[in-house]
Amino acid sequence: MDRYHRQVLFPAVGTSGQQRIRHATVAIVGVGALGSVSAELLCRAGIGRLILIDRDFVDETNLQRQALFDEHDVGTAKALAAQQHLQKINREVQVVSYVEDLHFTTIESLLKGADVILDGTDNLETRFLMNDYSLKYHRPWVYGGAIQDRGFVMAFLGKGKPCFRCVVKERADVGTCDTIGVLNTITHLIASLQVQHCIRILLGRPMHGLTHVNLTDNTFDVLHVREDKNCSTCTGDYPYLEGREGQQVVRFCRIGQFQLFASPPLNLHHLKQRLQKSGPVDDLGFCLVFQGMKIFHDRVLIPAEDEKRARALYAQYIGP
Amino acid sequence: MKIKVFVERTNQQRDMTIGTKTTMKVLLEQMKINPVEVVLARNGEVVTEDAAIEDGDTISIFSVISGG
Repeated sequence: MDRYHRQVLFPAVGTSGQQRIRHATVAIVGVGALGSVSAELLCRAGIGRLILIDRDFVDETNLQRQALFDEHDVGTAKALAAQQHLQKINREVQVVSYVEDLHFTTIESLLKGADVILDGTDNLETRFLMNDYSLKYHRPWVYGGAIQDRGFVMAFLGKGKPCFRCVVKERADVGTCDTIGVLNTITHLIASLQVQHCIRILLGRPMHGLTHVNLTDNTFDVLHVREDKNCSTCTGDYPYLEGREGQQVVRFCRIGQFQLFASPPLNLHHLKQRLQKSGPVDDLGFCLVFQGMKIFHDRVLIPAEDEKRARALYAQYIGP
Repeated sequence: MKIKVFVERTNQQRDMTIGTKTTMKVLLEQMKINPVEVVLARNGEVVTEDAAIEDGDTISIFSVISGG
């Protein structure tokens, strides 16, 4: 019997709906608590192609909620670990993975061919970037955010519809999962809703509204959203996509880890030779690992207690 | 004007009395809430801080969520 029999049996999907799912490409930006669950659900649902993008590596604190990973994955790049697990779940799905940071210089190549973009990120900056991309290239994306036991979900369908900036106006210094915590129940719930939005978009029947879930008092609110007539992004201004906003040289990733962009790009071959004079260098092919630092051609992940220390380590080992 | 205000951060709803021609922005100032940190809804519809408040409105103030 066909492995998708149970969902094909559901009339809203049916054989033609399954074909649409089968021929679709979905990009998942951030393969963490939301993205890993979304990836698994879409893989099991028989999506045609998945593009996984994540800059980070699995650590022990991820295992509480990032269900695709296990203890053996700690230290492995999330996109690669996810790809390995997903291919064991469903070989029919084409999975491509990128251990990269999504920013204005990489977004167009990384998201190329994606019919829908799923948000698995942990920051507003990348969401504004995806929102700019969505409006400029008419690609729908599905926002998901979770913290503690609360979350938001909304599908942004492109030009002529409300955009993320109609809802969230600018970057704000709000709490992160690292600083105020998160339950695995809310992340699974929000990711499941994101996938439902995604499937509905692929079936040509998108769902509307901003869903807010609050598990403290067990409430689901679906808020109506209109286009904000004063929204600059809706009228064609794309500051994140054009690199005029959001390009921080140093980015806080999580407690004890910072990311510094390398400009101009690093020559990893030469750098490896230089660093080997100071200690062992592990060459993973796509990055170098040196004293806990993960060095890519365009960025460096640095374990440090604060930004100042991260900058100092960068200057000491990578360059001025 | 009498309104109901739900603040998701504290998970509390309260009845408030405000002056006429009050906007969301003024309400946030009174409540000492930073507007960039919240999503505002009036009677179940997302609104900007420029939106006017009317008698009997139910206002919801949700924290922006960036985690994932």
